[in-house]
Amino acid sequence: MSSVRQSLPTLLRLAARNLQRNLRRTLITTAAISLGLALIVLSVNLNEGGYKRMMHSAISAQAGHIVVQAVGYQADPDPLLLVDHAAEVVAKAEARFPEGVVAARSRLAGLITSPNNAVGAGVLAIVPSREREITDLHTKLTEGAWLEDNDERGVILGAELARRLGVAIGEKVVLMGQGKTEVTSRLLRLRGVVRTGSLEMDANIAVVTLGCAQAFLERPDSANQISVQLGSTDGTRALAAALADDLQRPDLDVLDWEQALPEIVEFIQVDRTNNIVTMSIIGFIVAIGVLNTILMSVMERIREFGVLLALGLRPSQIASIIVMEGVLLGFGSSWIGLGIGIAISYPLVRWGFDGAAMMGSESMEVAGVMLDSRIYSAWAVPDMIAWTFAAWIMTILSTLWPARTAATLEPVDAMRHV
Amino acid sequence: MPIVSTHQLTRHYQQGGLTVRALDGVDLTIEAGEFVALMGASGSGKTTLLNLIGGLDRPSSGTVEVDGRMLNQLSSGELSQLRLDRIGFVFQAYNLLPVLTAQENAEFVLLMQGVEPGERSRRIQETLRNLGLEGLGGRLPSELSGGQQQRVAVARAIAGRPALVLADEPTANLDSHTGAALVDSMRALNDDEGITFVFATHDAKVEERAKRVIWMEDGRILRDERRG
Repeated sequence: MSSVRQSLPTLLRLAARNLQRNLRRTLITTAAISLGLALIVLSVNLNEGGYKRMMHSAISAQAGHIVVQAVGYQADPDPLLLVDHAAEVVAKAEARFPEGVVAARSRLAGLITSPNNAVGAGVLAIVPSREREITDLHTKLTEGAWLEDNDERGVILGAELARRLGVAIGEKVVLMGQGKTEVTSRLLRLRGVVRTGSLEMDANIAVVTLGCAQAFLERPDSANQISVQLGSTDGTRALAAALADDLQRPDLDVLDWEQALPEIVEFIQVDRTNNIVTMSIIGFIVAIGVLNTILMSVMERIREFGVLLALGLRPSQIASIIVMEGVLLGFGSSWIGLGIGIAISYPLVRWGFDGAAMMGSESMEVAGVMLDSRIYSAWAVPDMIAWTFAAWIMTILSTLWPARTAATLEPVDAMRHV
Repeated sequence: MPIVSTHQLTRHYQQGGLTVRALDGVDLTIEAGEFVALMGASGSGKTTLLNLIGGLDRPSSGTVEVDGRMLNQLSSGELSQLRLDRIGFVFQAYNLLPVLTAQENAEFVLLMQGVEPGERSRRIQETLRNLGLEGLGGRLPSELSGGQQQRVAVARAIAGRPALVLADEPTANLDSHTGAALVDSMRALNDDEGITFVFATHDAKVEERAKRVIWMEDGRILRDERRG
């Protein structure tokens, strides 16, 4: 008795020979699948690079891997919702994460006036020496000098904001805004100008020291957020819980980056979903092409299938020959495609490319996050493996209809086929 | 013991609104070990009868029994198994698998039957030698002459040790010398190994070598003649 196990190697050999028979067609089909997959691999790696840059940028500039803030600040980022005894919180966070960087920050909104103009600004209050370890804002300085930690009267302005205010290094501006109980103002002196590359940011940003913000708000030893920067995004939920245990402060929320930056997480999820849909459509189009090719090759071999039926092959064995052709074609094509995809992604992972010309500026804002114009890919290993298998499976699936067509042939009709 | 038995076997086709009676109530019994030539003009029903005996086609009415099994009672899978184990086919156009070498073509049925490698190799070498195909096993069909290809087709048909070989115009594409040699080879297999052969043919060389000649006309058996 013939068994499936016994006949498989023979049918597999026949399938392999059939692929070799029309080598040009096999190579063209392989190229279509491989290049389609290579483009998908390139795309998922580019996307992964973008997501990582976005997360890195948002975590370093807007939040932290772990963020300590007053209860309610996440929903309503009121500058007066402050973490009191900020130094103690910083000390405990540093004790918990000795290899991390802990930085206190506040954010104010106000009007900056000069003798020439008055412009609304977003004021970021930082500990300058700590911020240097976290963000690259200090590298964007085009004029003047970076702030010292104890400088409670200095301000760094975005280049466009400074231009609108018509002030130069060393000149005075006044920050007006909501103080502890009433609108208050503080005289500041321009120490430096930054140019981030984003017109919007350059027209809006003002940086002062945390001491300056504490004095402005008349809330010493306070900050809106205590940010903890770690080496990795892994396991931050548990680490945040551990810090919360250390702090024992019911007036504070201790969040990991996903909780602190829900809009970023959501943006990435939505973008991932969109990309999956787009790439699936590309895959589907390629699969239609493969189906057409395999169906064509089946129609050319109807007489041959009739002979195989006459020799005693079962319809299921005829179908399995065609499915095996798909298995082999898909296997080869998907791994070649993965190889090409990795090869063309490598330079973008290793060196990146300057997207300034495409973006029209040296940086751009995506979902509220500033991204540098240098675009890097990152290895999206699970996605690459998943798409490689998807390409393989899609190739196999595209053989099912032709296989069914062949399996339903009547031997006598098939053998009459010319 | 009959290897083939048909009862009131009929096959009708619809063609351009007309019913064509390709086979019209054929009663036929073929004993094991016979060497039968079905003779007749084109359209007489020879190939239709061969296809029905081989289970490649289904009758409009009547029954076919092969090797003790009623074909109309078999499932598609059982019919395939019967063809694999008990029936060999030789076609006019050779119909070798173009991607397999001569030896692989001949070996194909044995592989599908699951014959052990040692036994398989022994049988194939013997079959190729008996049919004068020694040294040609590694060639693809496209590298063989028509006569050689048809010998490979015969090798494929008999390698699986069938009880019955059905040959449809096996000599039609061969020159007279090659055709005669091929029929001689098959007759030798019939004599030596007792394999039953049934031919559909116009070829006088087959008729000359047949032990039994059945003349057909308009889907019916006209004359059935046994020879010494």
